[in-house]
Order: sequence, then structure tokens, then C-alpha cells
Amino acid sequence: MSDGIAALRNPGPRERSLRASIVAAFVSNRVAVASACVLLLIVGAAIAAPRLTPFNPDRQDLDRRLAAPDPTHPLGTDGYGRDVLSRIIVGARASLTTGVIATALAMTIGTAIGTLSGYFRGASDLWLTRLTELALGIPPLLLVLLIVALFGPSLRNTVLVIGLVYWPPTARIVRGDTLRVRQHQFVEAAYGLGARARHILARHMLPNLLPTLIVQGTLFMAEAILIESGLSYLGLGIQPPAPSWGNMLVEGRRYVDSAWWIATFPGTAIFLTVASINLVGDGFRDALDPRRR
Amino acid sequence: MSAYLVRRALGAVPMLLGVSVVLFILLHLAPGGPEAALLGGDLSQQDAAALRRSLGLDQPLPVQYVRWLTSALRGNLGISYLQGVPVLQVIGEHVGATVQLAAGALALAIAVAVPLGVVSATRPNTWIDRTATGVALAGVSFPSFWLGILLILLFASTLRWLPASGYGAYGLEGGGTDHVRHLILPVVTLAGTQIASFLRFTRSSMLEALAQPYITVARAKGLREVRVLLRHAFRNGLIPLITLLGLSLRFLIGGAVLTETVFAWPGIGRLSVDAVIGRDYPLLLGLNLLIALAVIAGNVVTDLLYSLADPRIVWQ
Repeated sequence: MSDGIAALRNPGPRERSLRASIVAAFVSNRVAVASACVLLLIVGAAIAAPRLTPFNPDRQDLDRRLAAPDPTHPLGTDGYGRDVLSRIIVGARASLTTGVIATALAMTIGTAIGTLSGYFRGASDLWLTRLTELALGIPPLLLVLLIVALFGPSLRNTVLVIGLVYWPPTARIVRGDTLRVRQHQFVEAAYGLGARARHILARHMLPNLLPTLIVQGTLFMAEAILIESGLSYLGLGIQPPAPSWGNMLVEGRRYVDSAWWIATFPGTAIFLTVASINLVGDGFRDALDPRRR
Repeated sequence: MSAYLVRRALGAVPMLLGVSVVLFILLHLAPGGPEAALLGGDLSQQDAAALRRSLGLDQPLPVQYVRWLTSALRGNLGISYLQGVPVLQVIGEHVGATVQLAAGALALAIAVAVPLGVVSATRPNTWIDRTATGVALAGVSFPSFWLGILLILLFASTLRWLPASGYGAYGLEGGGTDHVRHLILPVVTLAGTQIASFLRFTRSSMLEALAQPYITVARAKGLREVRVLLRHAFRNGLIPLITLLGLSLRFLIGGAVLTETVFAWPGIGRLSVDAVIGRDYPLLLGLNLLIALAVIAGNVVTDLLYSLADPRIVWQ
């Protein structure tokens, strides 16, 4: 591990070999690579959504309500005659935005609290651990639900609240890792050379925490997308008529007896996205874990 | 042991106080209030002010909190704004449905995931292991409410074997099985995600246990493989599994919110959503305290299970 860190900091032949072996390990994992490709396609579709959608996702065609999939509407139409495919493509934006920003937020807070309490220990550790425990006392989904409902459902609030509520697991894991890395002699050496805490944290601790953070972040991104879709399903996420995969499923539940496609396709979109992210995360974990490489 | 329990019970007090303070502040920081939900959209300023006064919401926040706390300590959690009956009564009417749902889901998840995880750990990289890994991945990637909708689509709409939603009738009124038939799909839905995480955990902790030297020793002694697996590997692999079990309570309650909504199941998950949307402050505080209490109790049970699984762990 310490070799790896020295290598990460001083570019040289060994660094290339470490990075190359991580990349090689990931690339040799065919499932992970395939999932990464699926994910890229979904991200690409979300970015290119306005050019890609065959119909305006909000356009209602009341003559063609609840139309089964056919060549014009490959995934059928919903109860207002809107094209399901177009709505799924636009809906990807809400899911992916939530996934990326909420994850970044949760990871940042969790890492800050985890490293500070693991590195400085003492009273700050005690208080931060208490805070984490307290936050773990209420089921996170309920807390998210509560805050979003109180402050008004919107994409911005959903993203913020998921990020602000889901940091404790990361803080816990990062704290454990910090305690472990702190034991290494290179940290002691840096301290002995008079390095400040900020320097040690940024240059010695963080690079060592990176593998954990990458894996944790990927897996949480999958969870964040599930949480967003759940909130939208409860009517507390993205507000109709703007499409999100979760709020499309609400309608799908209503027409479950007569129009199976309305619930089936947005659900498949969530599943595909989340499964791909999870598989990529598993691939990262295997590639970054020296024992498995 | 009893000293330990007393200490844990005392430790719960600051936790519950913390939860109630945080909630109180959150509720009152939020824009708007219960009057809009109670009186409808267009209400006059006077009506709203009168309502706030009658609910005691015009008082300063610390006063409100102390009032609430002193009556809560006497066992009175107030009157639900929405239902007009005591909070404890409302919760009491709904808690049973959620307990049935959660207990059923937990039992199903353990019954499916633990044996499957043990088998797949003993035969890594065979078809059964791959299938189990696939099931686990699907489980963590499936939105639980979508699983519920698909189950309704298949078993209620298409095959017509099971009812799509509702609580069903108890006892003879429903022919004895009506309630149970209503319970099946929600339990399977809620168990779905749990199965996935239990399966992953059982597999990895069994793999770890099986790689230990004492397994080689046990095999070298000539013990039968079943005994090696169950007495040596499983017993030791149980500890991480118990940790997961303790954590699962929070996920079951979170999952119940969605599952109960999909199946119109009258439990506290759905009740929480209604209370949030209707700004029913007393009910929300009561529900969250109850849930926090359940989570704490779950942690204590987890600790006790540790020492049951591993006699070296003693709580004092």
C-alpha cells in the first residue's frame, strides 16, 4: 500500500505499472466493461435527449391514449397519449443528475467527517461519532421524505436532501479506513518532518482512501437513483408533468390491469441503469483490491 | 447482563431526546404549516392565525417543545391533526400491519438467502453460485415498488391468483385465508431487496470463514463436511450476518413506506407519508420516536445475539 502511494505521488515507472495493472484488471472484467458501455449509452441518451426523442415528451395525443407498443410508439403511450419512449429518455436526466450530484455531496460530507474524526480522534471524534449515531437513528428514507415534503418537492431539493442525509455510512467507513492508514509509518514520518495536519490529510491520507471512496461512491450512486425513483413514486420527487422514471411508474400502477407497458419500461430503465452502475462498482472494487488483482 | 440492559436503556434517552429536538426544529423551520393542509388552499389570514393559536403553534419554539416534552413524558403524545384522535391510538391501529409485513419479509429473506448463500459459498463459480450472485445483483438493483407492480401484473392481473392490494378480512369473514392471501405479495416485495443483501453477506462471510485454518483442521480430523460447514464455518460466519440483521430494521421500515403505498397496506409506512404531506406534527413526532425506539431496541437485540452466536462476547 505504501509503495502504491509513493508511486501515486512521484510519477515514475512503478506508477505506470500500478495504474496499468488496475486498468488491466478492470478491462479484463468483461461484465464490468459491458456495464460501463450500457451506462455510457444511457448517459449519452440523457445528454442528447432533446435531439433524440421521437416526440415531445409532454405532447398529449388524446386520440392515442394507452396505445400498445407499435412502430410509431415503440414503447406505447400513456394515459394522456404521451410517448413513453420519449418520456423515458428525458426522465434519464433526473435520475442521473440525482445520482451524480447527491453522491458527490454525500461523499464529500462523509469523507470530511470521517477523516477528521478518524485523524484527530479525541473529543471531536466522540462528537462526530455521536452525530453519526444520531443520524443513523432515523431510517434515512423517512428523513428524506420528511425534509423533501416540508421544503417542497423539486429536483433541486431531492438532490440536496439525499446528499445531506446519506453521509453517515460513508463517514463510518472512511473513519475506519483513516484509523487504519494513520498507523502507517509514512504518516508518522511526515508528522516527524513537521508536516501540518492539512498536508498529511491531503497528500497522505486522501490518496489512500481513494479506492474505498471510488467503490463506495459508485455503489451509493446506484442507491441514490433508487431513492429518487422511490420519492418520485410517492409523489415527493420530480413533479409531473415533467417526466421521471419514478413518477411514470405511479401512472403505470394505475393502469396495471389494462396497459402493462406504462409500468414495465420505466422500471426496466431504472433496473438497467442501477444494475450497470452496481456492476461497474463491483468491477472497481475487484480491480482496486490488491488481494483480488 | 441486567446492568448492561439498564445502561443501554439509559443510553436511549439522549438519543430519543436528540431525535425529537432535531425533528422539532426541522418541522418548524420549514416554510408553511399545518393550517394549509388542514383548512385547504384558500384560507383567510384570521382563520390561519386562529388555528395556529388553537394548536399552540403561536408560542415560541422552546415553549412548544417543553410543552410537548412534558406531556410526552406523561405518556401523552398529543392529538393527531388529521384524524382528531390521540397519536398513540392512531399508531396503535397501524403498527400491527407493519409488524406483520416486516416480520414476514425478514423471515422469508432469511429462509431464502442464508441457505442459498451457504451453498453458493461452498461451491464457488459453479452454476448455482452464479445464479445466486445474479439474484443478489438483481435484488439490489430492483426498485422495490417496481417489483411490487410486476408481481401485481403477474399474479393479480394476469393469473388472478392473489389480490392486488388491500388488507383483506380476518378470520372466518374472509374464509380464513383472505388476510394471508393479501399478505403474500407485499411480503415478497419487501423481502426482495433484503434477500439480495443477506445473500451477498452470507456468501462472503462464509467464504472468509471457510478459508480459515481451523476449517482445514476440522476436515483433517475427519469430521463430516456438513458438520464442518454448520458447526465450524457457519457459526463463525454468523457474526457479520447478525450485524446486517441489526441494520436491516432501518431498511425494512424504509422499504415499508414504498411497499405499503404500492399495495394500499394500512401500516405505519403509509401513515408516515400521509402525516408528512398533511403536516401532522404530533403524529410525525410520535411515529419517528417509535421508529427510533425500535431501531435502538433492534441494536440491543443484535448485541445479545452476538453473545449467543459467540460465547466469548459477554456484555457487562
